[in-house]
Amino acid sequence: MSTEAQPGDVRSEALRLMSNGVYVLTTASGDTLHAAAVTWASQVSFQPALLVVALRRNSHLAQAVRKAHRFALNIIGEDQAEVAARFFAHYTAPLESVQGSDPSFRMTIGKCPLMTDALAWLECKLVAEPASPGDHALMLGEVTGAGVRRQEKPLVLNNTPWFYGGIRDE
Amino acid sequence: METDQFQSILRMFNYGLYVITCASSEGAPAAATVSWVTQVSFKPKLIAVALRKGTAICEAVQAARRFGLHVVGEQQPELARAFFKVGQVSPSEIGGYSYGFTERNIPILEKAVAWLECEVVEEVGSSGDHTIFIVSVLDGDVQTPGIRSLALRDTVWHYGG
Repeated sequence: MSTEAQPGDVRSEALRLMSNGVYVLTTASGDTLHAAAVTWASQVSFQPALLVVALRRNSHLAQAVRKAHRFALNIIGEDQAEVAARFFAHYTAPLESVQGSDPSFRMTIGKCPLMTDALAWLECKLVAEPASPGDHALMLGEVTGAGVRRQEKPLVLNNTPWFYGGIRDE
Repeated sequence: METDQFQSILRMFNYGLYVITCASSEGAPAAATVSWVTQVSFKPKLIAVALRKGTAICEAVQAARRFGLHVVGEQQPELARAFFKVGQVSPSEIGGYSYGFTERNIPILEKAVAWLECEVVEEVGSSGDHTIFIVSVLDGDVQTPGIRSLALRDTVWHYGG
């Protein structure tokens, strides 16, 4: 995420009018926690509860999700923009040290890390990576667990000074 | 936790409201208000749209492979409301809104603040109750610069399929 507008044409301008939330995706691969802010996410089914999240195709985050077959989307509150900003760059930490650290995480029974500061979370099993000719991979997740910690308004990308510019995490 | 409890958390996701219009072999174009829409690529410019399986709009998109995606502006809740359920269709109007066809035979509403011409590049089969269309953005226009899109959460509605 950045404050730089997507370069390009009127199509980009129209695309920026689309309304997106800001979420922190967390996953664990081996002994490492991976996390990053994401915005291209949508529910795509009620029964079963499925969602799709787009991650830059060859990013460390996408690789970690493929390995873990599991990820969580942490929903960030409208007063937590600074929290989200800490995850604009790909964030990693040794799993053993994430509990009680800052930012702090806890592990689910399914071995998926959750951000303890988030408003709410959804834990997903990776069910498919549907083919797409784009620069982002689509991760289709089935919701297997969820929780709400606080009933507050979530952060909305349009209400921040940021645009998602597809930054690399290298 | 049951699926309907997941749903209350999934409603915390942020969505815009969009009107999809699609030429139909049955004559009048199909149109519907949708919200499960997100960009999924910069190069090429791609969007993912989920449409409930078996609906008229889903079948029209499966047949035509091309459709118009209109962004509903912050001041246009009535535009979204008009396409929850489309009744009135005349040669020049859908749901009371006049439209014209682009060169690609895509119906575009004249009152849209911003619109995109989309073409299906992948149709994703899944175990879900919606079909996911990955579409490329062929063209588009912003007719009202500086507008904001209507956010689903700022309305009294939620998408219940």
